Amino acid sequence: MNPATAMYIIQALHGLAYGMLLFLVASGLTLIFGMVGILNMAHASLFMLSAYLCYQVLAFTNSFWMSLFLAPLITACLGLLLERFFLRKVQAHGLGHIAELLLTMGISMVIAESVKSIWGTESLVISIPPSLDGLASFAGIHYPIYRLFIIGLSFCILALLVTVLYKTKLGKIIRATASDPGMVSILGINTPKVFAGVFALGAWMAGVAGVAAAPMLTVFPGLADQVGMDAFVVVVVGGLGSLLGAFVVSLTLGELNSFGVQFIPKLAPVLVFGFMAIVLSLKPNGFFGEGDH
Amino acid sequence: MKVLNVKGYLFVLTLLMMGLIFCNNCIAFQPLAGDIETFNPSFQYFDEDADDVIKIGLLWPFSGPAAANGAIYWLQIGWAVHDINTQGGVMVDGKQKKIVLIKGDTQMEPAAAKRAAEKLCLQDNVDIIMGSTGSHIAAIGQNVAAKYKKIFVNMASYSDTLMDQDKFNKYTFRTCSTTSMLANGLAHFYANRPEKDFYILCQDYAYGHEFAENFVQALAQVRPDARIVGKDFHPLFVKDFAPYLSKIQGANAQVIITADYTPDSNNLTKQWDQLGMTIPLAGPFVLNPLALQSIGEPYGKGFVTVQSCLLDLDKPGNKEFALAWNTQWKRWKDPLYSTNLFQWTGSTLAQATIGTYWLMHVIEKAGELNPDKIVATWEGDQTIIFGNLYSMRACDHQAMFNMHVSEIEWPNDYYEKSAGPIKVTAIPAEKIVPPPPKGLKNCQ
Amino acid sequence: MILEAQNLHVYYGLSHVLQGVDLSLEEGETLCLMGRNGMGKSTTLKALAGVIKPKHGKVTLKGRDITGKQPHQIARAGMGYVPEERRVFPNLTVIDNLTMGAKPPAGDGKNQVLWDVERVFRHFPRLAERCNNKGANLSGGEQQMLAIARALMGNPDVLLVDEPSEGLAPIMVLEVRDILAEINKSGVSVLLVDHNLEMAMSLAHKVCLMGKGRTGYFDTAEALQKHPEILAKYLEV
Repeated sequence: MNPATAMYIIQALHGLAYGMLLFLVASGLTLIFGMVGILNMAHASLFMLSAYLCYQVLAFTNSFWMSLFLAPLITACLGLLLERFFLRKVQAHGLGHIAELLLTMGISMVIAESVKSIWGTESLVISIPPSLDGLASFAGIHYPIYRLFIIGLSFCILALLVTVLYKTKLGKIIRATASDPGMVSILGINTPKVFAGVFALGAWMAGVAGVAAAPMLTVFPGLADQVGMDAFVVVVVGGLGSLLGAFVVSLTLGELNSFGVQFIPKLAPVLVFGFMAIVLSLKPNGFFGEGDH
Repeated sequence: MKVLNVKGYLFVLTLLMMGLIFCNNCIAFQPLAGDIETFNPSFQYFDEDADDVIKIGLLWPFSGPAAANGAIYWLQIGWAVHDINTQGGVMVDGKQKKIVLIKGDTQMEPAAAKRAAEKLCLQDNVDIIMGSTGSHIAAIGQNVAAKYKKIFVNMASYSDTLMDQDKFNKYTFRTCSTTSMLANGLAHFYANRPEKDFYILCQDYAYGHEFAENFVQALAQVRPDARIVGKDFHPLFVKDFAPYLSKIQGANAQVIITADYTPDSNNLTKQWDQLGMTIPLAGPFVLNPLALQSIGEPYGKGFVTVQSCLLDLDKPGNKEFALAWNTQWKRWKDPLYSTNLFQWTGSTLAQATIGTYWLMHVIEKAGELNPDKIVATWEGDQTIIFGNLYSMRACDHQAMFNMHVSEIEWPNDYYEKSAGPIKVTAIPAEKIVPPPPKGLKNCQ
Repeated sequence: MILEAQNLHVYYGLSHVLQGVDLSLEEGETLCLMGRNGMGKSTTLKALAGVIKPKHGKVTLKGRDITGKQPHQIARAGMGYVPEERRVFPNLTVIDNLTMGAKPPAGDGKNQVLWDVERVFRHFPRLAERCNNKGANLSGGEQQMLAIARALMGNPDVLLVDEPSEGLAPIMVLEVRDILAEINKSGVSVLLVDHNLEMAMSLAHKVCLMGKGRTGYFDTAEALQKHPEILAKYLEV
């Protein structure tokens, strides 16, 4: 293959890998927003926490697969507790979205400080599991197996999410709850449980993303801000609550970053925000946003 | 007989005087002569209200996201202070005084740094301030210190412009290297090497640009046939370096020159490995045993590191320091200091220790804590510490010393799972220290 | 008595909306609740379904006290509720609207006909035709049918229906009436609120008339028809 073509394919794969990782984080965020109507400011902190948990589980079990199983599970349980004992209490008092926003911001700060006091502020060493280390070769292109794994894992979770949301009764309930929770409860469904479940699901996806990111990116206390910022851009530009929007915009950001670095490196960092400005000025509710949130 | 007696008296008197001078020398401290075995960085306590001590304020981030950086300097400076204090202290005003360290937490934020510096000067009444990571923070530190006529010793901030005609003040000294010294040292290393095609990847702010410019200029002088095949400046805290690295691979570079520090340098190293790259990284912070451990074999073999002081067991002085340090490190159980990052000296893990020894030598030579006396003594001073000669340029207070560059190797005797400097090349100070700023009055 | 309300009081903030509502619905009957606008008919249904909490009073369903329970608990106890706004899920297809809340009857269900998609589609052939359309794309009449059908999928013992004929074309009103009659015949007790007197009287076994937050006249439909002056008192503006 022509070396230039090969490089473009590799850059496209880089964009895809980061884009899909971003989607894992952003999809949970947008799902929660669609249900509860708030941007969960603690979402990216849960993502980071899971990366740290991955480190801890690795330290105990030395198995990446074990941490891929355990860390998101713990993160989901934590999400469940946060919803049950904090968010629901604030909602029950009818203090409005500002109070919920402040609450989740507070939670994110508590997580950030806890992470620092438990694991310190230095970046942690997490190696790629031996079974996923190395390069895969196809059509004259060499590409890291781990990044392909991230792409594959993210697509699997996307497929799982779409199946659950569109093919199961639970998914129908979730989608119905997003549009009219009061009516759903009139039909005999315990909506607070649905809320909690979705919150846990969102936290679990952030957890999976955290573990997936741990060996690829650097695990340090700034990780939440780093990825959280991009995830917020994705959710806002994609349309609050829109899964399809999150998917399209995550991939767009990933590719913008890759090809931006390749062709216009000086502008690469601002491309994302330029993209956001253009989309929001044309469609203030985002790509796939509905006007009524 | 009487005459003889007088002569005898004179003889005895001379002996006594010689003895006094000699004794003065034996009271003076020597690096590593103290009770280093009792040093533990996690358990350092100082009586901040004690009288007749030398109070030193440390202006570093001791809390917040950059707290790890403050912890590194607390360790380095604490080492020298413990060593000196267990020898009795520093001879000032005719008696031995112990050193007391007082933390001034900058939190890496200008407003907090200013408050901390003011407090050190006014409330704690320190004699000397040491600092500071981040050139914007160091600038604040040196201004506040000058306002209260306190000596400020810059041990951590590299920016060349900190000591130019606009920012220089007579109470500020810099014992660490400048960005240009690091860049020049690295460029000189490549004067006699086979590599010719360089790609520059630096952080997109003053420091990264300063490093890149100096490297390119110096390389053009010592290696006219070298080519810069590409240059990228990336924003701070890049998540994924893969697009940059693939681009570099496409540009057919032979060396990647990077001045990045953590977390960017760690991330870069990690993703460099993920992409299966073989083009070595070269820069001041590429030798990070933790990051190199994470990428697996051969643990960064072939990377090139440049620093003012590098681990070098072939060098007398440096060897004793390194071995003593490593012996102590094995006793530190605090997770903050027990990682491989602190296993050996060298790299950034020495410059503040050396700076502290140097300052104390100067104070002892001055014999008093009067800042003007210290300034006069330090200007033009030359001291050998751990086998390296350090001299203080009188006109702009910039320390001058050799730079050390090494292509790191694995396996080595130092680290089980990280490449380390086996052969260290010294680049002479006169080749790499930048000329004094032209605008400075004293330098004309 | 399958559903009974005693002395219900409801407040919206400071305004005292229900000031003592008494209702009783016999098993298998259709009870029609009528009154002028703003008398509290819809509020009564909401209070029964648990959407708003009464401040005083008591509601029993099949002898069980359900006062102050959550809407989903009341629904599971055997109450179906079709709100006035219909509240069809716009982002779900007709079939998904129906199946998402499907559940078996609350009791043993021995005497009841079991409502499932098949049976619903037999009674609502229009919905069967538009099976894969999104809720948002249905006409007003179709949405009304979907709302009723959706409530039936929960196999309720009692169905509360609020203003089913509102905003519908006359032909659709007839269709809705026939369906409600069939539902009642299948064994579901119905509590209906509607302005359409003709439809209400043709369906109701009993009628309850409301004025100013209180229930007043309560008797069989036949009895009421003999006293047009009472009807006029409660209904004419």
